[in-house]
Amino acid sequence: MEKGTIEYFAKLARLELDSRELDLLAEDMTSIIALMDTIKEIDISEINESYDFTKNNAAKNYSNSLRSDDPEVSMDAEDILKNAAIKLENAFVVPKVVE
Amino acid sequence: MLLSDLTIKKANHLLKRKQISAVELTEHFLKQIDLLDDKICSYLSVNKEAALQQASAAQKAIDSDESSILCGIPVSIKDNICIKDTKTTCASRILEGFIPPYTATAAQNLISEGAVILGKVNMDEFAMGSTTETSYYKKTSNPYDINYVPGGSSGGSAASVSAGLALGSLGSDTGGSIRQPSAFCGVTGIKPTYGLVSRYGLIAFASSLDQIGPIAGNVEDCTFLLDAICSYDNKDSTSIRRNDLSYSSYIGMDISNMKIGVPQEYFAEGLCSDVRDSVQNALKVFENLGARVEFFSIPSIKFSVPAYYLLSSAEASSNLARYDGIKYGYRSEDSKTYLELIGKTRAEGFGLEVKRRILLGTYALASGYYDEYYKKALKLRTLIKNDFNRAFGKYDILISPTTPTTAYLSGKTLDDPRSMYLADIYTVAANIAGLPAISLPCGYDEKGLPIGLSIMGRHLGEPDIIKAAHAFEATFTKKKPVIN
Repeated sequence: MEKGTIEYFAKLARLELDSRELDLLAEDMTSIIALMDTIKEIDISEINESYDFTKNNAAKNYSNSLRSDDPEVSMDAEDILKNAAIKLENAFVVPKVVE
Repeated sequence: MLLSDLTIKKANHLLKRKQISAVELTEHFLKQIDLLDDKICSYLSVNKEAALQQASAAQKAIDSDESSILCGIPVSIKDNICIKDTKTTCASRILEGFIPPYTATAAQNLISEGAVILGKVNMDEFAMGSTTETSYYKKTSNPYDINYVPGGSSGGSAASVSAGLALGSLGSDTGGSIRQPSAFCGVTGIKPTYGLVSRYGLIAFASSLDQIGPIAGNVEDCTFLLDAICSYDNKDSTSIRRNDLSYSSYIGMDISNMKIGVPQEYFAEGLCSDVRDSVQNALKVFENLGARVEFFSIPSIKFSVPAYYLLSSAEASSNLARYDGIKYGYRSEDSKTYLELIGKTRAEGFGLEVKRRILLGTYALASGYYDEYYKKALKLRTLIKNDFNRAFGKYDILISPTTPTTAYLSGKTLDDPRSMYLADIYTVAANIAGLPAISLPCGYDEKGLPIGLSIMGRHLGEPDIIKAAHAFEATFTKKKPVIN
């Protein structure tokens, strides 16, 4: 795979890559995509996609289960914030986004 | 007292008969970890104080005769399963220092039964790998020969049980991550039916494939853990509502008349001869036990590896988008803009294999590629699922090797991701189709490394795989690892 293509997808995924990683990944992705391309050997255009995986044809007692939308006690803000590397009062801190 | 051949069941008997206290049992395992884990490196963190407190509480329950089979049993937990106030890293730098504010349902179920959590065990970073070598923190060794890998991604779970550093463990399995390390380390592991065990608190890799399951020294011990961890959970929308079953009640049940299918695609080129011979011997054992064994074909198996890598990587690229350095985990220093912060944090926080998968997933989902990769993989998922469902109309269980080879030499495989991905051919179909599967030892190669037998069941067919695995296990003589 071209390094420019890797850089394009890395940018979409918000991954900065150094030149060593770029070289390695360009090589790896070529052989990985060749493996993925083996799925082109079969024509399954008439088959539907499995989007909702909670539906299995063999299972009857199985469907997406959603709880009722009732208010519940949530976690404390303090508990949520304690893992942030930088915080200020009751908020997460990010670099300045408005000039 | 001889504690070297302990099982969960034996330990429970000792505890109930007051031949050992829960604190003494936990102390024994903590001592073994001190003695041996320098060599095996299975634990990322051990919390002695908390473990001894839990053991002390368990003893009170045992004394009041209100304890379950798991009460006072020391276990390890894979480091992608959150436990409140306990460091949980997913073996990634990006979660360095993360202390979850909540506990995963599966782990909570074990804690509620009185199990003692010895610590969190090593894994491939974000469960992406099959050697536990992609961990940011350390490399784990195979207890049968420390020059070999334990498999992965639940390598710390399997190695800790194999080396006698825990009586059981919770792992997770997205494409074989419970079964493959169980095979490499000579222990038993179950990947349950998708939805049977809550994923709440399991750090997401590929949500439609991930499933938590038990690893232990034998089939019965796995059923005790499985009984405890599967429960309906309204915090996981894919959780199955089911009537309560006791999986341990299927131990020792007759398997004569069981119909066993063997997909011939699993005996193709690339299967090493020691593994082939051991699995063929196992098939003879099943015939001798009265089961009917038949080879048949599932041609779609050949597409299972690329379909799995497209789906799992696509889901991972989305799931891992949350790691931006702001809310938790590692944060890169000195970034001037928001985008620079995210880009640098992810560059420094993720390892190479995680970056590979994120790139592959981004590629499969990108405009212009979506239809030919991601959408087609979803169609293949339907095809594979239907083919396996059809097979289970005819057979009760399917048997194959768990892996094409025994454990790899450390440091020899990371440079060739394509070959590593292809080695997942025996395990990924169970995840694609959401089916249960178990791996248990069925032989040893010429170097003495364990060989795993895979038994797959129909949807919610855990009773069948448990019956069959236990019937085979009763005929098989295991060799314990000698750690030196």
